[in-house]
Amino acid sequence: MKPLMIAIAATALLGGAAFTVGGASAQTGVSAKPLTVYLAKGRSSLRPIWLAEELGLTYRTEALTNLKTTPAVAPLIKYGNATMTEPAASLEYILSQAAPGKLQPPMGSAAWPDYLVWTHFAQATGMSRVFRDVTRMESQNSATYLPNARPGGGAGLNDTETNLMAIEDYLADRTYFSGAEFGSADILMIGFYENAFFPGLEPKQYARFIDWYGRVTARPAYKRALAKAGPDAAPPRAPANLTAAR
Amino acid sequence: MKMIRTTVLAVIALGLAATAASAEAWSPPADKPQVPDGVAEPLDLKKPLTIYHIEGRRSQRIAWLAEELGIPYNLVYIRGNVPGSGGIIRALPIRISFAPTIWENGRYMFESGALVEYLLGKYGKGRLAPAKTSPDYPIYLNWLHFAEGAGMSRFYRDQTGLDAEGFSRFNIGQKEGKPKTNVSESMENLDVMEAHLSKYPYFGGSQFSGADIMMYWAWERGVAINEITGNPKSKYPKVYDWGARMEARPAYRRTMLRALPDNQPDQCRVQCKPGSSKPAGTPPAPR
Repeated sequence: MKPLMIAIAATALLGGAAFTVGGASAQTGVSAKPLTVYLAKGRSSLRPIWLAEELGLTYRTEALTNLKTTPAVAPLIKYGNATMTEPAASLEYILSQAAPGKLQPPMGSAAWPDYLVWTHFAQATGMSRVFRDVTRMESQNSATYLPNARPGGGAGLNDTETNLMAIEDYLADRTYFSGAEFGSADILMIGFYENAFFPGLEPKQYARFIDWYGRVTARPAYKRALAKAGPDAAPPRAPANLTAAR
Repeated sequence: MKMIRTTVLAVIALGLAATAASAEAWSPPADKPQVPDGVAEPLDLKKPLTIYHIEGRRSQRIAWLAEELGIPYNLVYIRGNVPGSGGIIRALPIRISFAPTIWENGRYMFESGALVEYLLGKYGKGRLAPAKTSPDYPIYLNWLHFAEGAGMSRFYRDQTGLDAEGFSRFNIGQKEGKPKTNVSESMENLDVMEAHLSKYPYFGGSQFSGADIMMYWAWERGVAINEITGNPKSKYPKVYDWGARMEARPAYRRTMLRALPDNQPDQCRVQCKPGSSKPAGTPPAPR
């Protein structure tokens, strides 16, 4: 629901508004090649901006006019000559070119496989289950929808509740989705967090995940990114049960 | 005082035990893969990779990757039994049950895109991915993530709507009437795929790559939606040509013979359900 609403809002915003192209907000710092982040994708644009702020990279933001595609396949970044649309790919690419080895565990280390898992999970397994649970919730017309859990060995496929339980397990051992330290997988995982807490879930059971979100969004680079990423990038309103938990 | 201290220590011990148990559930060490009797292939513990598989599911593409790279692997599933194969994965001592799940180097791991990057990094020796300095590298990365990002999120959502109307991937052309589901986002996906393949031979750019393996799953669903809505194949010539080139790859054909043994590659793509018995050698259905 939320990503669809963000997509609809972004499209509506672009449809009639008079955007100015350019809006350069260059930051001083290291950058091997020019980096532009396009502000057509709502909260997606926050991610490469946050990455750039964490690394101290120079970048500019640009609003796209006359958008002929929907936000999902619109350009997100341009780095040098490369234009990219996918958030996780954009972060991986910027890191590989401008800051190799930064904001990630070393390749071949014990934390590296999990870093890869969460990097992909955020948009793939995580969001695909959210979409399916949203569809079910809407078809059930339920204000207290609980994604059907698999309590350690029952029938049925995984769903958002199972994914949340797995995240709690993981965070028992590691402080961040990128390993012992904050990294790019954490930037990507806030997207899942912000869509995962269906009304029927009990936030007390996901205390580590909630704590993680508080820690990463308290980072100064996150706050700077939020200020630069445009009005669409405002954090979504927390579900009522999550607000109560805090 | 002594009773309170004992109680406090007991609570702390329980808390630590609970914490340790939780962490174990995420990534328990496993010196060998857990495999029950009755699976399609005998288990060879000398093989470095075990792929837990369900016929017709994404695990096929991890098997395909292993075939392309020549990694010896066990393929664990029950032939012609999708629920049973899923049961093997659900019985693993891990929190998340998906196909593909792999066992490799003493631990279980899931998430297709991550598995591709991991296995390429560890076993690839530079194959199936462009060098980081190559102009193909950002192209490869974008399509690697598009597959399960914009790709499948939109194809899956639209197909769910079509399925609810009775227009399935497995009965194309057999149902009366036209679907009402709005598939414009899927068509947009296909448009960008066609535009890319008009400039490059592969989703990885100039060469076949892990991104192409990841994209095949999305491709199957995208062309199915194209056909369900009554469009001709000629609407997306480069997209269909790419698919045909993938299916002609020897490693792909070896994979399908092993991972979907009752449905040979040239007999079905969008029309065959895994496990539906078609004797080998049945001529392909007219399309």
